[in-house]
Amino acid sequence: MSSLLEVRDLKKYFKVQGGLLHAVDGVSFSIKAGQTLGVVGESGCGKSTLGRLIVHLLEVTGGQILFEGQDVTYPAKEDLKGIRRQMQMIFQDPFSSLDPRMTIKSTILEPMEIHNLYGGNKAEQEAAALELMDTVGLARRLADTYPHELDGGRRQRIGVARALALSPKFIVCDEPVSALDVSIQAQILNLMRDLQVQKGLTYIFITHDLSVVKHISDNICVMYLGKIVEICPSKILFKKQYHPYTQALLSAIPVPKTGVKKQRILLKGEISSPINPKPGCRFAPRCLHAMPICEKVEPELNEISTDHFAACHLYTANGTTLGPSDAEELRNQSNKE
Amino acid sequence: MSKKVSTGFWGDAWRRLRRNNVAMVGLAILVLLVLAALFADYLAPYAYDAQDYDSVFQTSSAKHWLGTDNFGRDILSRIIHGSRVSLLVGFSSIITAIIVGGILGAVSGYYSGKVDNFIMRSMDILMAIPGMLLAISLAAALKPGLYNLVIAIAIAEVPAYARIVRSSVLSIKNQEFIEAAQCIGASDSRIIFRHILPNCMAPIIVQATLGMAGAILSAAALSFLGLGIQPPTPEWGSMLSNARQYIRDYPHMVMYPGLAIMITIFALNILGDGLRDALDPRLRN
Amino acid sequence: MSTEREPLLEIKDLTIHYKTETGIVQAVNALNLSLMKGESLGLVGETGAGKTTTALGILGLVPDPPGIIVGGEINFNGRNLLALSEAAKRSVRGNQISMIFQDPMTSLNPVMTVGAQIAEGIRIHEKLNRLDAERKAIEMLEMVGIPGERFTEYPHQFSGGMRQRVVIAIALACNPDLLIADEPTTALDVTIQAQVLDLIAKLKAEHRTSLILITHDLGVVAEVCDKVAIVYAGRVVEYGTLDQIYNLTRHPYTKGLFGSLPDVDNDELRLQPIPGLMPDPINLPPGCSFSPRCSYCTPECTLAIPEFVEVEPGHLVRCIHHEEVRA
Repeated sequence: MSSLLEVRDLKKYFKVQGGLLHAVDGVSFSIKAGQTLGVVGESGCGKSTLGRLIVHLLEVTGGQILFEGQDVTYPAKEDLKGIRRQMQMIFQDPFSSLDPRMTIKSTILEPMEIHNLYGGNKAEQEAAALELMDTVGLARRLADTYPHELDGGRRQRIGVARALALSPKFIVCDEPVSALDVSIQAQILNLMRDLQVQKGLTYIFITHDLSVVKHISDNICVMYLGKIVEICPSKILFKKQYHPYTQALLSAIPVPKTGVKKQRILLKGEISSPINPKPGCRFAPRCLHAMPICEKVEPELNEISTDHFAACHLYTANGTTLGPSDAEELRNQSNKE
Repeated sequence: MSKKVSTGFWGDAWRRLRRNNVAMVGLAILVLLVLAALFADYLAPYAYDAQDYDSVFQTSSAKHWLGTDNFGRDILSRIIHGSRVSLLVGFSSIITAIIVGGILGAVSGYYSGKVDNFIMRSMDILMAIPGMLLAISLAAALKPGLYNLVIAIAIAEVPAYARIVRSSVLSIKNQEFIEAAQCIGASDSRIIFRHILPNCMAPIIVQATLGMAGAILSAAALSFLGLGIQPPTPEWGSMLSNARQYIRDYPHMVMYPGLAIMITIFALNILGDGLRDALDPRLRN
Repeated sequence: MSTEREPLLEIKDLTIHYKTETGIVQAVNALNLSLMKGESLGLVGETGAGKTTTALGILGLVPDPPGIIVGGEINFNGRNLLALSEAAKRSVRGNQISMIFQDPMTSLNPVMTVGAQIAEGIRIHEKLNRLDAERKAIEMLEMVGIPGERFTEYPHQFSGGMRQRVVIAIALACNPDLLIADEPTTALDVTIQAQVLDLIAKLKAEHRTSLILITHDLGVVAEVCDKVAIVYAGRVVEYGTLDQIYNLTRHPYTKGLFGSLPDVDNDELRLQPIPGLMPDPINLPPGCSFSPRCSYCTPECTLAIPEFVEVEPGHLVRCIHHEEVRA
């Protein structure tokens, strides 16, 4: 099965005061149709920028985006509209992602109007919009209400309906449940799963919450400062992590259970600046296993075990896999020198 | 389950405005003025240019409720007809300024970069010239008359609206629903006209009510200086100008037009303040 | 002074309403809580449950208008805070009771140095001169893990996590008996959250500060708190020790909360959300506020608001069906 979406060495740099901000710095992955890639990372890792690059809300600085085998990195104006019909986005903030002046029905109708669906037939478009409301679990009587009259969960459902209006094949979900209460999060996540199965959708699910991403992703990639540090099937990630950042991320999640003695990995310091990043591994300043090579050479994303990739020198020195204890030895050796 | 009364932004704003008694007074006065302007021909007891040399300089009496001027013209009738001119000038100049300034501000805010720079620097230049001076120069350069008065005042007001719209656009541009509109394939013009501008209306409306007050004052001032409306068309400012020489002996000729201007400006101001509160997005929800 | 037996803080039947254009918002309804010295209580609930309003009530910061304290008592160190004069309340705030708010970006004054902000509280309550207050402020900075030299820097020069540490330093500067933390880590990244929670736990242990931690995150509560109060529609519906609430859950809402959590250890793909939405605080349902969403609901539930039942020593539940909830 070939992939629906493929991203090769994607880059996005912003010119800012002080230099070049490397928001996304060489990201590559591919997603098969009907699957979900979870993109996890904390603020400043570039995941939101990545999402926006893929749906063409931002211009690509370097690299390629391939959709159904076709290069869509720099689409021509005539093609862009067609591409948008296939690739949609669900936004994070249920409060600011809806035009406060438009009723729910108008919001869902708008994409259909722009693309002249149903041959421009108003009645059919409206019927389709009401059906979409049913699909996402919004009562039809809310069609003429305004966003500010509804709660976050319902507003997010509107966002989902809007994204579905053009029957796209692919949807980027940018933290769609982060702003919602826990019990509502669960409702929306279930909805998204069901829709994926019903309509054969492919998702990129961006979030900072590892527990949420597990429920919805087939594969997960972990980002740090614009780069992918680890990528593997989601079932594997929670059992074994290679990259120290992923390990720290997982251990940082507070577990809602009593009597769990957390062996928490506390990272040193704060995230470094993405502006004019220094050579070497971006995570080195905070890493408890940092070795001299980490500050000089950037690690490549290598396959450590089947389908499980990580970018870390712990696993590539001398071409063999190092465990943390070997790293300890190496460090002690270099300290003696 | 509570019944949901579905009101849009405007419905909620209207309800809030209705509760503001002071603003409602302003609104009532304006409505009366508009009615007076519309039905001037029926309301005014005399024609505005009917001269009666037997009754010059009369103070308030049963025949002439506000007295007469130096030509024996009924001041009340002239004030009623004058409302037509003042409101027309105030309204048209502001609408023109909003349309021109709005488009400039929207383009400037949405596209940023060189376009923004060019437009805003032009507006800065325009704003550097004192408004009254600008209006006077323009009115003097163009032939005196109603249309040119409107144009002169409008041009002086354009930069204010360009700035307001631009700053609204800048703050709205970064909201996610604009990104969402781009994502579904909306064209730039659709985004500007359907999404951004409607969300800017609140500050524009507030500025417009207050701006109308200023425009009416400018019109009065220009006519006072002889640059605007020409006699015998009554305009409150030119009535003032005319009465200037008689102020010591017949102050009523100055007082009534002056009161008319004052009440109109007052009404517009309190309505504008009320609108600002009613349309305040922080009060939403 | 509270002895070891008497609670440091005792809230009895606190009721706070907000008067709005559309009606009266019943934010807090006859809320009851108690906290001993040195204890940490997790106040758990979703948006609109009334947790922040309760915290503001304790500090006397409920905006009036539109907020009205309809009734109840808040006994702190033996005194009813609601009955105090404004001046007396001010002397308690920042001194005996401190609060940390959610958003570190807006809790700090952008035009004052962080040192000055920490020193401000010290000077007001401890009447130290400028130099001594400064010295103490630097101590506080070091205590929260920020180098003392950064005393003269401004909030924008710090990251989110560090700003929250500064906020904690301000809150603890006068060594309060009670610290109220309103979602202190919600706006932070998870690795930074881990650091900040670690810091709070450490400081709490060192200074024996009592803590009320307001959050919706049951994981955070499990890490930091001894007791838990679950709040729904302005009322405490279940109250007990950490073990009792997490392992011996007796209220349907609490059970629903745990059921809807995505769990890294659980391989089940479909989550169990609580159906429906939080009730409109202007129009609360009759009887038990949770009844419309409750799977154990019977007609009895809508007749009256359930009273607290002590199912085990120290474990209180407001539910007439608590026996059935016991799995």
